[in-house]
Amino acid sequence: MSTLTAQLTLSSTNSTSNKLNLTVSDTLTTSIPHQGLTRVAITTADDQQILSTASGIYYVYIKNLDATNFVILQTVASVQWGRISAGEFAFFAVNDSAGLELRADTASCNVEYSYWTKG
Amino acid sequence: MATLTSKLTLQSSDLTSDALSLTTTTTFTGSHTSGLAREELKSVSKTIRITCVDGDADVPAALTHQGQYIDITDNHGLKKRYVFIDGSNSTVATGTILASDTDIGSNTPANLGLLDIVGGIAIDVTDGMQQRDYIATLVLAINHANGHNGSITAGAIAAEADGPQSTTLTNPTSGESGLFEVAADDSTITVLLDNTKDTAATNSKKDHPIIISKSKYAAPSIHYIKNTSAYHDTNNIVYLYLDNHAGSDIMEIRGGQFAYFPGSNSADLRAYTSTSGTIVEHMAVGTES
Repeated sequence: MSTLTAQLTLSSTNSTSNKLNLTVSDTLTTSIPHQGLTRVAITTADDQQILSTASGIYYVYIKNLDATNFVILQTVASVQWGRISAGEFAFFAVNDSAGLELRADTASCNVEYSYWTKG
Repeated sequence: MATLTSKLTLQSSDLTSDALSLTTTTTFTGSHTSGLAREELKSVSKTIRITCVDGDADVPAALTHQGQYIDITDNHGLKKRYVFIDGSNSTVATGTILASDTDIGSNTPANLGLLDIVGGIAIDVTDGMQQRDYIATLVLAINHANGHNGSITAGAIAAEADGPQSTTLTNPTSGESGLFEVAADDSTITVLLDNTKDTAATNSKKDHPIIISKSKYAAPSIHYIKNTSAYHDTNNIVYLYLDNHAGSDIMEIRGGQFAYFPGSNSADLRAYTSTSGTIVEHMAVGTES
């Protein structure tokens, strides 16, 4: 077992009349398989699998490195649920057996990702 | 336009031979935000069921329940209102569509001031039935040609027994979601078990709060979701699913953990939990569509 510390800070001075300054942090117990930071080109084709439907819960980090186009997050059943714009990122836990696929919408995008199996 | 700055830091020193220390920052502009909100998740299941309080409890007078109803909506949005009629004083059969001049027992909906049940589907119950029989007759109405007629299959209820008894609603169409709405909170039926939210109680997707509404923000919008419970390996897990045809879980968040993602908002994102009473904190930033 290993640990991964994840911290997220959200801040804004103009989203509402009250400043937003939110920080959450958690120490996650992780195991293998683990995929270290990886950079790949994601095309507009369907079925570009990052995680299969194999049993397990995975913590996933993804960043879209493209300067213009967005990348779609979807289950292995091609149910779209997320959209990462140029330069944006996401961090979440994939549900057991849901799997994860990436798909560029307009043109191929370079993407950085990593995942950790929940320990 | 407001600007949201998001920073994520990931660190690990013991998983691989090379320590991880990653920090990434992005900014997002949007005109609107939900603000931080908290929801208590009560439903512990995606099984859709309708439950009576006590299966072997006698219901001496059907008249007591005349005009009581429950609304059920299938996964395509087909909504039907099922209405108890006093079959001991009416000849109306289960499955009949009620008109304003239909005799539902003591009188007609028009004369009783019950016009909200006109167009509803009759559930014919009689004096001396048990609560279990009320659910069994509701099953007949749901499966009737004038009821949901196959878009929902209401399962048979077990033989009369003490305690809560249920019918389970499923979708007979392969590949489609079996997540229906049972408007128990708006129902006037008094033999319904709804308030306990345990594994036996009436349950439907109405018991799964919408964390992200598909019609609220243009895609993408930024979403933060946190499970405020303490970590436990099997308790207080938050499950998130898209309310679409598949209806399958896409994400889970355990106690103390969080998710951050830009949503495509293609369907409502709903939540339920492994343990009733789990509180989820969430916020969206985007531009309203």
